[in-house]
Amino acid sequence: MSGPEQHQQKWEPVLRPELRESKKKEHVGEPEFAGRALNLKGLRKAFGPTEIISGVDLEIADGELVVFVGPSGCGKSTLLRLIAGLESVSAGEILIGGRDVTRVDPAKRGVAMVFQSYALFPHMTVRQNMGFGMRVNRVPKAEAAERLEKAAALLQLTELLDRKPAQLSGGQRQRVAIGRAIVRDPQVFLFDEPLSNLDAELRVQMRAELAALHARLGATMIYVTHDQVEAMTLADRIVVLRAGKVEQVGAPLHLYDDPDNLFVAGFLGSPRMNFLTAEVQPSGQLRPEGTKVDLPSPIPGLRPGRRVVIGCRPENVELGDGPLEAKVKTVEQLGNSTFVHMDCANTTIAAELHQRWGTQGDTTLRLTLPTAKTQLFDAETSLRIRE
Amino acid sequence: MSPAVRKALIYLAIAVTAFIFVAPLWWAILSSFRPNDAIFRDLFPFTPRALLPEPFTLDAYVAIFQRGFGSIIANTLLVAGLTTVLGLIVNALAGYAFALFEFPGKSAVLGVVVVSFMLPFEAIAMPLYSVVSQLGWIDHVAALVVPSVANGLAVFLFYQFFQQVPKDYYEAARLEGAGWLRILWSVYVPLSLPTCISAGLMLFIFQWEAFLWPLLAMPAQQFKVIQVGMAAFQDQYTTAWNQLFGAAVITALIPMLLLIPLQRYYVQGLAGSGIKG
Repeated sequence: MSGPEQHQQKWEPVLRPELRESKKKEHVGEPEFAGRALNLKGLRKAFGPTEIISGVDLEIADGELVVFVGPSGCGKSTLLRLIAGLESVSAGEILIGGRDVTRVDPAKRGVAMVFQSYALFPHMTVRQNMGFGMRVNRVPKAEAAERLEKAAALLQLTELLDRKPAQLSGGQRQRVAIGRAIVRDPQVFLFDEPLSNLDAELRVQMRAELAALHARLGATMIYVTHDQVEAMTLADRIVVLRAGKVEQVGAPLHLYDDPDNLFVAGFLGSPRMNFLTAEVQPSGQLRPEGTKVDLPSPIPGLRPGRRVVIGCRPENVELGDGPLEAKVKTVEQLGNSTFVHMDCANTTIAAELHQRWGTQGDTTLRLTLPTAKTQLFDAETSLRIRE
Repeated sequence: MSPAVRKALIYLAIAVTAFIFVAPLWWAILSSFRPNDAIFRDLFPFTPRALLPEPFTLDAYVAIFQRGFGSIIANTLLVAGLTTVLGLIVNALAGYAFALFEFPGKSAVLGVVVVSFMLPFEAIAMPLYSVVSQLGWIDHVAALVVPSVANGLAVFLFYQFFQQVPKDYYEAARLEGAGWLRILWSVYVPLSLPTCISAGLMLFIFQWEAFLWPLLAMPAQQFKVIQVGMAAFQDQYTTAWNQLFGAAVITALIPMLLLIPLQRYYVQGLAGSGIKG
């Protein structure tokens, strides 16, 4: 993300450095620290006896777009709200640009948040909504207008400045909410499921716009979603969360190709990765439960009798010849690809084919899970077994 | 019975009912335009002329204003206006605190607020008199205004409305650097206009209709409000019926003039939020 070219592309903050220095300390939202990196150290949050975030350590680099992803209730929104200062921290530290902001007022942390509901004030025009923070902080009028115009131009909102939120489409409201964040020139942008209220088509469009905006602003952004497609397409790095804990952090394709545990493997990818529970045989081969077939193990030397889970992505499942017998349940034709869902070895296996395939239900066929493209997990600990 | 006859009977029943309800009001209005000695003339025995404005005169209205009813109206407008303005500020702040802040004993205090508007005023009139008297406010405008400013029902209306406002607005404004008072003024108050109007009208009418308390708190009768002033048209030996009706018409008309243009908001404010995304 960094590099000289990237810096040239960056959207220039409208607030000039000399003005920034002359501003009073109360003028919030303007980065007083050069760095925009974010550090979370041993962050914990409990509501009464229930721990929602249990010890999160994370370093987010300047200009990075990090996506928090996980199932409902995993604590991803709470984590974002802790960073924003909307929830108090039970233990741990939050550092933005090297400054400890753990106990700092939300407005003085240098963060701007885009809410899932957009939270645009319905009685204010787009201009008033975007300029609200600057009015509150008594930014000089001329400067406020300049910043607002610039952000509006960047987001193609110039024509809509005098409209009220009710007169805007979902996508436009979304852009206004982003605009309100941009004019504050924050060190870190926080997005809380910003696309979840949009229809599928608009979501794809806004996703692309957000990616372009990130490239242009070069800002540090944290994005919360439960949609793995958003996570995969937008993120520089993905943080997979479960039950308040970080399961794995890494680049999207790294997590997809090299998951650390069953949860990450199953969470990323649609249809999800196929899992077959198997037992290591004395020969070192793997025998899936409910079958009498032995499959070669991708990892040699496993202890006989050990219970493992074989993981294989649907696109890697080969139909036709093979040791495993499967009965077709449903076939989903998507035009450019076909998903075949089958019963096999006491579980359901999905295969993705990049061709049209007209098999009826109840057909029995044979399949292969190519050894080189399978991963092994420990059935007890759910952790990946690596060589 | 044929449908036409049935319909006619229903209409007749409705008309009679309407007449029973409207006739006294109509007669009161007409009576304010009659000389005092002509008021009961066509009533016993009843002739239809009792429902016609004759003989017509504005003497009653001229007389009540000559007797200082104008300043009584001004006094009442002052008391009701002050109560409304101060009441909106105090009750909105209280409702906001209940809706947005967590503090020890919140639900207990809220419970007291809810109970307070179920208590009849007569139950607290004497303790209140004692408090006001100790403050030295007897015969002072403050005695009429201050005890009426805090109103449990108005607090509850604001509390209910503010609770329905999505919390995201509050949080978004917090992140923009607005303090809680600024958020109330810039975000919550503009959204709650119907509630402000409902609560404001309620406080206004409460004061407009007040009789017992002004009578107790202003024994010197130097500063009269409208209900107390109206009672003065009836004394031990004579009653100026036409003036009494004239005063009653004016007394009813002023809140109606306020209510009619604001009726839409009043209903909205009582019915619910009306916030849309």
